[in-house]
Amino acid sequence: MHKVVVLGARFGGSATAYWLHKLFPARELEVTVVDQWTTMTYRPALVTAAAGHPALADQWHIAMKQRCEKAGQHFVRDTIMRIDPHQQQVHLASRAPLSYDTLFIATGTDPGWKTIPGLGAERGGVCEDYLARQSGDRLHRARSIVLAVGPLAQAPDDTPRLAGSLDAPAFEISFLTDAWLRQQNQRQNVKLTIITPASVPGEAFGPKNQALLARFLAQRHIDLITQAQYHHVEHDAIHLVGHLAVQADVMIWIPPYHGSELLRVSQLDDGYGWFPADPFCVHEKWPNIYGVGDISRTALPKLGHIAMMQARTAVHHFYALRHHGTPKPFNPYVLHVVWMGRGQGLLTLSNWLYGKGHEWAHPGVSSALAKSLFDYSYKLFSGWMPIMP
Amino acid sequence: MRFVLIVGLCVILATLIAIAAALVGTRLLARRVEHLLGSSPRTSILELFYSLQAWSWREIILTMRRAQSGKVAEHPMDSFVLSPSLLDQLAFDPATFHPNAHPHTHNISLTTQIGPRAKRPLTLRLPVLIAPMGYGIGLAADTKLALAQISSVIGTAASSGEGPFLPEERAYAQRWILQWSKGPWNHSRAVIKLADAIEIHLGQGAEAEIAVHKTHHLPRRLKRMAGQHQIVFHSGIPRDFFRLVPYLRRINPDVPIGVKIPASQHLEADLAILTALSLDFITIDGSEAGSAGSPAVISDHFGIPTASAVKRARDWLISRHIEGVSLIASGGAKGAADIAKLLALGADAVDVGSAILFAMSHGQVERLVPTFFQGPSALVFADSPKHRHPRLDIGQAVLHGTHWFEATAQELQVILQALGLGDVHNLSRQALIARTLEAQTLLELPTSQHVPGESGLSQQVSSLATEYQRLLTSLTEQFALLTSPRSVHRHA
Repeated sequence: MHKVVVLGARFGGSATAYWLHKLFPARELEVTVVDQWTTMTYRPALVTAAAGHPALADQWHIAMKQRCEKAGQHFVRDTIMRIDPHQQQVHLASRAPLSYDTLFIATGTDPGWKTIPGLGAERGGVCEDYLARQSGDRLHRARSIVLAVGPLAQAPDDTPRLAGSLDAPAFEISFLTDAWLRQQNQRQNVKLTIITPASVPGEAFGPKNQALLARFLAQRHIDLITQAQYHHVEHDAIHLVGHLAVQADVMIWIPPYHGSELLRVSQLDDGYGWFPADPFCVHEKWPNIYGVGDISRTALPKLGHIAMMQARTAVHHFYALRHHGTPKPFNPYVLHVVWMGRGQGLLTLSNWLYGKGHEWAHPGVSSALAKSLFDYSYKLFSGWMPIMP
Repeated sequence: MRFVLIVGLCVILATLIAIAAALVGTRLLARRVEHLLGSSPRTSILELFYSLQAWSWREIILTMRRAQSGKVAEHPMDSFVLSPSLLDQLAFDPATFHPNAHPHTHNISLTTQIGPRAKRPLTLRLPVLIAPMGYGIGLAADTKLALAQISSVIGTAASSGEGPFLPEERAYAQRWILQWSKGPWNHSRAVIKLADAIEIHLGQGAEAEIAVHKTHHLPRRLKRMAGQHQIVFHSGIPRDFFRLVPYLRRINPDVPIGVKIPASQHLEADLAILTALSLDFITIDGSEAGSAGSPAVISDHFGIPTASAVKRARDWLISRHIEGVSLIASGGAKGAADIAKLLALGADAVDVGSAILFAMSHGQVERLVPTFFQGPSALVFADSPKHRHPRLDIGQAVLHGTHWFEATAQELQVILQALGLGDVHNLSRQALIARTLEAQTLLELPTSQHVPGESGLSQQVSSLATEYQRLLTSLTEQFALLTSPRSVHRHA
């Protein structure tokens, strides 16, 4: 049997495992999924936990091991140390190397906590369950809250260009926190600030969305500092280049994204820590290695929806190769809903970032309902929904 | 109306009967107690009174345990400590005029580095480490994950303990110490490479360096990891110990490497051997340290107190002009005051175990007590899947554990403020006062009872000096009068 190994079991890895199960007959492939957690944390929902509801952080765990094993796939819980593309092996921390014929890498980007002096996970975050829980707890004692978006360290010639790692969660947390504070008549006592290296809010979404976001931020008295360059971080302040210090009782970081250490140690990166993928998500040098999701330099912005689409592209390409079909290249578009609080959402459907100019924005209750529907469906079906993007 | 009257009378009658019964009952009870007190205590319950004069509850329970199992009696958590403990026999010397109390607490630095000579020292936001407690042989997997999460949100380090490698623990912990044990696992190059610091476990306060066989309370995952092998932690110093440090350094050259030893009376001799190995840190586990289950004859009757061991170790390092070796104190620290005292005595960081486990189980014990008659340890300790009890709520445990750390950090800052210090590194023995003569003698500190001139000998010396001073003044005046001009004599 053809041995397929999928590294990572979050958005990209889970969707890859799904398409491998969906497209291929069980006897054709031996699929092994590797991750350090047997459960996946559904990260898009963590913004609600960070916005003052810490208990919600523990309600979005999905039993991914169970899901994969139910479909006849193997699941290995271990730390991935290194990939040897010559020997076609994945080296793990506590067991023998795994051999593969085809490899899908969906381990995401490493948070660059150490790339800004004084920054660390202990300053506050939202991208993992424990960070979101802690941020949500600390919010209860805060008078000044800063949502900080780290920079995205792209390769110099990568296009399209984005300045921030991912700014959408910062807007969501600020809107949700604003609504929560207003509910308790505490909004006037708390200062909310967003800092981003981007020049506009929602840099990946397009001008309509950017204008709407700017308007909503102003309406809710949420300060926005753009084009920020971080100098260093202290426990109660973020210092920007230009001697501007932003005071914060609580800071919540979307950390800098600076590629993957796994790719670097395996010498599979583009020189900047990113997976050098062609339009079919195939490695530029190794045709039996695919890169899916945040780890890929073509996955922009670093959203779950993009990872799911890349998984679809990659596995369909793999299927076409084995069954003499014609694969379709990755055709990106942004589909995202920003929680606005008070039962509202801002739905964005856009390919503006990729130079195609289409953009649709829809604020309102129906957008929030659509997001809720997606979130609960994802949880209900353990990531393998009847209709996948 | 008549009905109400009848009911009222019945109630009054019932009350009177109840009062009468209570009076009679009390009197009978009093008579029985009086009789009991007067009777021979040889076989009555009063025997317990005499037993408890000589026996502690701890010894009684251990005796029962030995009687029931026929095996070495063990008990969990901290070891026996003479009351008051050596740490409780210390107080701090408050700042008054010089130095002043520090104006604020928020800018008092608690940041600490372990192994400053290493290429990548372990930097902690506060000088408190989560004590090594291994998965399966000590703690449940959920507890380990909660501790790793706490370490990351607080900015300290989690440790593998003697248990096997847990990928999810490493993923959660931003700073992870690998405890290189004498057990069957964690010796692979890959796991060594993953560590941010490596602690070679030679022994610990609660177990000295004896061999430990783990056969009970093993969770399913641990059994799967062990396979057919027995889980044995060998005794003594490993044969290749002196080649171990260079070996580990070759695999992971950038991180601090240290050793953990039990605090012994021949501590200085141990330090002489260890410092010759170019170690980055040494952890000293005092006699107060506990574990999930150690032989009571070891944990309660071996070793020297942590405070004394830390003081002696720091003195020895200073006397040999050895710098750059961090000293980690382990055992007996229950909160910020204990931690600050150990830092003042010479530690660079302090391991805390039991206190964090108690904090983590806060708010969850009530689920255990009414139904299962179990204590907080049932929530956090590893157990066989046959024993059913509620699982630890990781979210709650992390929140409460983090709160404990945040409170401890603030309390450390308050202590430093009251001492007039702006940095935890400035804590020294000058900040300490011995409350007892024992602490004064052991730790060579001034006592709170010490007032110069009050003791017999010093009083005599002092009064003699005063008399000499008076005599000198008088003679000087006489001499001045004799040698001065006549006018001055007249004026005088």
